[in-house]
Amino acid sequence: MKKSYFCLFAVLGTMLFASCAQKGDSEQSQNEHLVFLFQHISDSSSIADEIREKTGIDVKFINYNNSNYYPELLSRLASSNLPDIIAYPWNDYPGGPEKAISDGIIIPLNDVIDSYSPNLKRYIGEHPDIKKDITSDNGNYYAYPFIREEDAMKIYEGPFFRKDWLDALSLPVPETISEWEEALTLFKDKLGASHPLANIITPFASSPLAGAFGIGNSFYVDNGSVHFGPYEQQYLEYLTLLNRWYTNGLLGKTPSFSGDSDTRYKICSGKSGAFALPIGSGMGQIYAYCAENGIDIELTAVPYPVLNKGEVNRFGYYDNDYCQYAITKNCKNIELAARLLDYGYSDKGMLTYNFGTEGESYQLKANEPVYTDLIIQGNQVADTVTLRKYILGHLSGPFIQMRGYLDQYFTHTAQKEAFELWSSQPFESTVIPPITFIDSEQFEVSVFSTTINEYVDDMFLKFVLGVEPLENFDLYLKELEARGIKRYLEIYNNAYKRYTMRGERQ
Amino acid sequence: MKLKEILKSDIFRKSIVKTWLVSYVATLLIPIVFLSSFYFLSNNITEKNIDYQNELMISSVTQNINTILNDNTSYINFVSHSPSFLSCLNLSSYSSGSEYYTFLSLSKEISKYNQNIAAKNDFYIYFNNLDIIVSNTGVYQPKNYFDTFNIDIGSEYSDWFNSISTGRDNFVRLTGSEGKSLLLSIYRFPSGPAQSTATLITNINENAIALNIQDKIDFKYAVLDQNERIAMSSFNIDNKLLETLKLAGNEDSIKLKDKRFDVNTKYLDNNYKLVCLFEHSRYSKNINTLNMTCVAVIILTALLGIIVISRYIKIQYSPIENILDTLRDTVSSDNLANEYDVVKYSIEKMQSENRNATSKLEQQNRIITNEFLTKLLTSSTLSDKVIENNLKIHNIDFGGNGFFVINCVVDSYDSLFDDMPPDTDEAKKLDTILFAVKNVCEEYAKEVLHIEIHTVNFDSGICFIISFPAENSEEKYKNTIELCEFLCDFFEQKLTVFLKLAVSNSVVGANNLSLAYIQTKSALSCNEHQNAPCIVTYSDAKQKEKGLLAEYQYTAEIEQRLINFVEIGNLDAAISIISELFPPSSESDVTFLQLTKTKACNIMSTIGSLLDKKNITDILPASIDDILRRIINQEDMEEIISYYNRYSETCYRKLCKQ
Repeated sequence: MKKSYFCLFAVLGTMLFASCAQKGDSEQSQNEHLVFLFQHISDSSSIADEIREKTGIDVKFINYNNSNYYPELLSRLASSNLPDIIAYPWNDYPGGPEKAISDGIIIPLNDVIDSYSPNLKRYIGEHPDIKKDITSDNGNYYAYPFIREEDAMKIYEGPFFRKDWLDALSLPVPETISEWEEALTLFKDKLGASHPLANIITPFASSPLAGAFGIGNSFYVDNGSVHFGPYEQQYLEYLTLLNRWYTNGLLGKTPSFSGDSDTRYKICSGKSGAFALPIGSGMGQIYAYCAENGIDIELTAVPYPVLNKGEVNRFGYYDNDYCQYAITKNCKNIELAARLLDYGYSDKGMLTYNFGTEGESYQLKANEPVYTDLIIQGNQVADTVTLRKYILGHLSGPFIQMRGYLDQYFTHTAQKEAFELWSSQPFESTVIPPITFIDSEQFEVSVFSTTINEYVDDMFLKFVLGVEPLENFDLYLKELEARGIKRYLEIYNNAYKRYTMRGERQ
Repeated sequence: MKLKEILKSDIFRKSIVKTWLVSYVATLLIPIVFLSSFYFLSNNITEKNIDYQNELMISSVTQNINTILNDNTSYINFVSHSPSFLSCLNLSSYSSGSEYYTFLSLSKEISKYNQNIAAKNDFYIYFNNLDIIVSNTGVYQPKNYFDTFNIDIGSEYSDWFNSISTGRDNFVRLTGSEGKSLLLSIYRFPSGPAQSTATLITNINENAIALNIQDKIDFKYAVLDQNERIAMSSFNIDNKLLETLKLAGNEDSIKLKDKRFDVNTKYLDNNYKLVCLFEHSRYSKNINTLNMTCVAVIILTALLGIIVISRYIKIQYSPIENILDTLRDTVSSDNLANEYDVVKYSIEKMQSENRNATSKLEQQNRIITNEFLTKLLTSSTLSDKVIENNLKIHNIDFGGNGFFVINCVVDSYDSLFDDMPPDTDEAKKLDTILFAVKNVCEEYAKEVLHIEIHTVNFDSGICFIISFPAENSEEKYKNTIELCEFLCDFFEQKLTVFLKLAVSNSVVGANNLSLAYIQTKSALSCNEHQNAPCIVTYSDAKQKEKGLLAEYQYTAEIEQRLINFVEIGNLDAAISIISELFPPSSESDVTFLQLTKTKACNIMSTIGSLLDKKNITDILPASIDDILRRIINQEDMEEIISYYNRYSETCYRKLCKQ
């Protein structure tokens, strides 16, 4: 009878439990449940599961594809519907990260990191130089950083040439602008390249060419102050070079000024022999496309060009994007959020983020993590969709990117050589650090970014394409002044000055 | 009766099991009724909720499609009014820098426009004459553009190129590999001055149309344009299905690949018709799940309820069942309402029987006690131990060691029963009087005189034993005499009943009560003559006897000796005592005759007691009473002695043999 009573109560208990145990769909954070708005991790991905399992924290990742992420994010920022953790370039927030804190969007993290993030705290203690880059002007920690294990890893983009073409033409790896011009001319004349140089990076993006003239393509730091490349006299020499190249057909009839969207097509279809792209995704995709379509090409990285041999190009791509991962004011369990974010700076967390799940996306061989065929098979890296399911090493996040990831991710010799070639370049000295604008500056910056940038952009095209005579360069400079370039520079310099003083305040 | 038998029999109708069952089932019905109400309520809410959700989805899809259509219109308006576009239309080539700059300017305008309106769909312009495409990212040759941007769906370049180069004002779906497809909205601008033509192509982001809907349910939609051609659809539609969709209205349902879909239609901006198909099983599945859950819960509740009820009834009925089993032989439950009535009836019956038994027991106790006291008065052979034990057994406490015995007989009572019928039994009358005497005597003794008194009933009279501490004999003697006087006066004056009361001397010890009793009998014997007083004491009677008939004494001592000799079987000694009692005499006066009768009667009474004691009944031709009666009726002295000797000797011989 006792047994039958037990069964009876068991059934009733089960029914009661079943009726109560309804899982809510709400994204509202519970005591032990976190919501992380993060563009790189899908909630159903393997790496999401691995993070949950390893941290023991029930976190829901919300991601949108890139085109929808920022609209969604801005929509959430405008409302009070904030998740517990949010990934956002807080330096771009109007008024900077301090304004985001005072607006009640995110919380300062000084005490949080001190109390609940021992791994990040240890790393900062061991690398005090990064403190300036991950704090606001007021010395507040406002977000968890994406850290690269080596500074060299911040340089992952630069110029390439088709090595097979150089070899075919018995040309050395071009180092100077004149060698570039010679090679491109021969590509056009001898090899029939319709667009010998595949992409010309517009202002406000990195360019391998402007640096040859001692200027940056946009804002840069030189001699302790901020300069604006298109406002420098050397900019005329740069424009003159591009105009000549366009006129001589080295850029093709329809040169691409807007990035790398069709670069792969031009390279793989034999229309171009030189280009500038990221080592991993850019070169990797070209290699993958060529392998898939039976195209046999050989690429090689070349040095950022200089005018004369022996000179050093100080202006190149250098990624110093640090802090994105902030805890919002809505977070009910700050300690839990801090521990989740801190995981990426621990040894296990670094493995998780860089290599994924042991036995699935990597295996330990001689105590070193090695990607499985799921990630890298031969010299073929899996497609980006697959990669994002398992690892985050090739992207970014609240973790330390390991050098070990790069060594395996760059499967082609040209990629490895490119990394070795550029990593020693002194680009850091000229790159604008993570400065922030105060509230009063923000409006002016946004105005200038429209009026001046658009003008520079437009004039760049006109000068290169010959629509505007290069003789009008002085008028162009005057127009820039009329549009407030000096004030624009002053704001940048003030922001840079505040940045340099961060260390002194602390 | 067992529970199972009750449930199967007619008794169930009036059994408490039925009452319990009805109560429990009524209680069980409460949650079941609530559950049922909940079931209907939730069913209704679910239906409304699903309808509401459908409405929301349709509204969302409608809004998204309207946005696409409106965006398309906006794109067309924007491009039509773009100075760069108009400049481009006028160009016959893009080979010069200025010409290319014009196209790049258009590209920048598109890019800027896209940023301003946060466009959800990519659009680009194909200049048919120049065979180039301008998008927000730059200027491309068609093949370049296709390879760069359309490669993801895996469609054929020729299909795409034919669509954009020949399409005019329609929607085109490009099917790619792995089930991927791309919906293109194509609009051909009117020819420009240089007879150049341009086409606006929009890549419709279909994911945005039913974003987050198709992941959750099997939802399909189709948009028919004003000419009832398929503009957009989320599934393949053949001509037959198209005809069905054209005619479909709300509340209809259609079947696609063995699945039934509910149809909802709505007209969009530009008079387009939206046909939404919701998988019917989604609705029915939810409802069925709800129904099944509710029904299962109700059945489970009922089932568990029945189990619990039956178990509780069994547990609760078990003690009653045992009680009924116990009462089965004593009570017939046929005419009783239920088990409780049976128990109640049984208890009442037992109480009644208990009262009767108690009454009988008390009566028997009284009789036994009376028998013991009678024996105590009439037998001198009881040992002290026997007396003591019997006093304990009969719960008699004399309260002292001294005793008086009052022997009471009714002398006459003729006028008392005048109102009664003449044939009323005399014995009954006598019993009535003796009963009254007993009660009056006991009450007066206890309430007035405060003396301990015990009553002993005889056939023809009644004796009272007055007990007291031996040292208070004088005081108690006075009380005893007062009691006797009260009785005489009371019954004579109140009831005209004349009593004869004999009072013994004081004796010490219960074993001497027989002596006191004999004294009272002797005293009564001496007090039988006419005009005798109501009360006679043994001492007075003895004085009188001593004075008149010294040689005819028949004392208690002689009687005790006679009894003792009989007890030990000494016949000669017994006959010798009898001979001494009745010596030959010539006197024949009346007093002597009466004394002789008395002696003879006394001895015969003693013989009777001995016979009773020995349980000897068959040696005399008549009962002792008859013999006594004959002796009393004899008037001749010799006859009396002869008669007496004949019977007494026979008796003694027999008794001695025993």
